[in-house]
Amino acid sequence: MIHLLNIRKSYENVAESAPVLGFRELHIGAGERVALTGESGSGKTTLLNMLSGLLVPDVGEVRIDGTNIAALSEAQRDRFRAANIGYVFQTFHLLQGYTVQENVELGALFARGHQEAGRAAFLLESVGLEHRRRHLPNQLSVGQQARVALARALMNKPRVLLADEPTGALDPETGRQVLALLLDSAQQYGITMVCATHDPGVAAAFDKIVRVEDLQ
Amino acid sequence: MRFPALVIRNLRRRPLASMLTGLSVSLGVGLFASVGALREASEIGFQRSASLCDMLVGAKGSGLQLSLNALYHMGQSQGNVPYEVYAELEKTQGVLWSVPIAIGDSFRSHRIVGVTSNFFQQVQVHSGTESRPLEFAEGEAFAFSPEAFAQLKADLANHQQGEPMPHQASWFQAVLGATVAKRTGMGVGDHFHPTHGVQGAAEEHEDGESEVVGVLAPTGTPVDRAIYLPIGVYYVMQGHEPTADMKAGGSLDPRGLSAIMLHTKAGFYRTQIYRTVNDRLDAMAVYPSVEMRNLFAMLNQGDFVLKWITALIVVVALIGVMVAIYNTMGARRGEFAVLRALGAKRRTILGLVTCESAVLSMLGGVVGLGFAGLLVMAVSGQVEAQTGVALAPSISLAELELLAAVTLAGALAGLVPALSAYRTEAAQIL
Ligand SMILES: Nc1ncnc2c1ncn2[C@@H]1O[C@H](COP(=O)(O)OP(=O)(O)OP(=O)(O)O)[C@@H](O)[C@H]1O
Ligand SMILES: [Mg+2]
Repeated sequence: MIHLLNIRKSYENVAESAPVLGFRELHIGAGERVALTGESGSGKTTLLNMLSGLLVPDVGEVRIDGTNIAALSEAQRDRFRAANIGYVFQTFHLLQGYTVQENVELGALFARGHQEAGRAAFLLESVGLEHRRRHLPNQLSVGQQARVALARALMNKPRVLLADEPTGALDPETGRQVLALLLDSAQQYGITMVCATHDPGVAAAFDKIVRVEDLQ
Repeated sequence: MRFPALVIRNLRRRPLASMLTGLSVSLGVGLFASVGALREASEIGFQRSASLCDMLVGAKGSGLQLSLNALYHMGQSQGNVPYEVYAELEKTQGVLWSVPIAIGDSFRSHRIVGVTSNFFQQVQVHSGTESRPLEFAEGEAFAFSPEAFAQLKADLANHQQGEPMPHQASWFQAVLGATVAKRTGMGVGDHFHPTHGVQGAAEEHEDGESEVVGVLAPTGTPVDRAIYLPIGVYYVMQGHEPTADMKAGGSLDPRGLSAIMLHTKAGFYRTQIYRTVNDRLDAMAVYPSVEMRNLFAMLNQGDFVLKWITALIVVVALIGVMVAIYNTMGARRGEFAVLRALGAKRRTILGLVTCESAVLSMLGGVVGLGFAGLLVMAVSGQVEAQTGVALAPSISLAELELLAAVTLAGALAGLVPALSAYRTEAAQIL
């Protein structure tokens, strides 16, 4: 499903000789739910961004379902991401001027042919927020925001779900609930999931743990 | 959620900034559009009034002043044209009709115009491609035919000082223009005394008491603002006899005519009449529609400067839009980054911001055209009250072109902040 080969990634504006990321191979099977761990600054976010196509490695292949997105143009990667990737951020990044429902709908806005009437309502129901459809993000608790962010990430029926420290901003109890929701959703829809975290407790809940440092 | 909804939502998220910058565009577009629309509307309106007759004959002087004085009841008379000119024109081949005009009296600042009764049958009011004769809202025309006028002239020639004036009581009948009837509240059967002079507050003609016999329907021309009396009355009221120092037949002879309205056969005859009259030393002929066209051509020169000034206001307003949007770019980086993460292309972000600017400018433009419409309507009311000329406001292709131009310019202004949005690096922000 996900296959990274001979990756090297460094940030050009930083005068460091060693790349941020450099490894031979990483394979993640279809439907697998993988926790990405590592020290702060080890390159977890960088790796997720390469999987989403927001970043490309300096060298190497990023194959998702057979497509080497590292070889695509930026516009092609955007289209690929719109159609295939769901992304949940640490601070969720809901758009402030939009209602909960609209935020969820935004998840499929750029995926042509993926808009589906009623899907936002369905997803909101599945994360238990159908009664908050008309609220604005700042009227929600942080845990509720996390669930809206998950609904948004699922809106385009992604094949890959990326999450960057999704529980980092939550208290332990809420974190557990959100994590369970994430893992259940991925399993239910057969989505391959990669989640960066430095919380061992969170990582333990996944099918597989990959330490970024071990890749190098 | 669709792309257009995104654009509108983003504008509504900053209601105050959007409204203020949009309004500034409205102001500029409104002023810009008004300049052209007002000029166009007045030109159409004035031309309609100019076509009441196709030629005017009067004393030598300014053709514009003659037209304004005789047709629009504005300004001062330049003197009189001898009666003989009228008598000759009456018999000239190619003259379809002619109406002698005497001006100089008024009633409560409404000018009194002496005419022969064929005025009411002959004059046509043109609006668009239609032309309609004068219609009476109430009553009917007075009876004072060109023949009666000729007879009076003959009688006056034999008249000795001290003898009573040769007139009939039935002459003292008036027809009111629609506006006069409305403003004075007079109607058929009412009586009034004309006053000497056109500026009001002058002496009344004791002997001039006249009865209203007809009220004209509105025409949207200066006809609405005038009171019509048989032209004979002008010659028999006290104060209108020639004094010794006024040479009979000269241009100061009060028994001459203020002007002659002519309707002529187009082509050879018209040109011939025009030439013949202008060859005389005591009269000139003008085409009122040409005088109006020249007047407006002159006014257009001033328009040109105004156009540039108002266009500059639009440009400044659009720069305001640009700056207002640009100032939000910093705060919106996160939003753009999220949209990119959701699959938006850089070009989509560029388009989003450009569209925001274009839509805001377009909405401003629409409101501005509305302003212009209201302004033209308000001014039209004023102009009609002052001159009797009904302007003809209309939405033309030019307005739609203006709207398209403003929208395009708004999009161009939006490109500046849009390019900054385009450069957002999502991976660095998320
Ligand atoms: N835009 C950038 N420009 C330069 N250096 C960067 C940039 N983004 C990240 N880095 C560097 O790359 C390295 C990896 O960063 P990354 O954010 O991937 O780490 P991380 O594992 O996600 O850390 P954390 O757990 O703190 O989120 C760090 O040393 C960081 O300073
Ligand atoms: Mg990180």
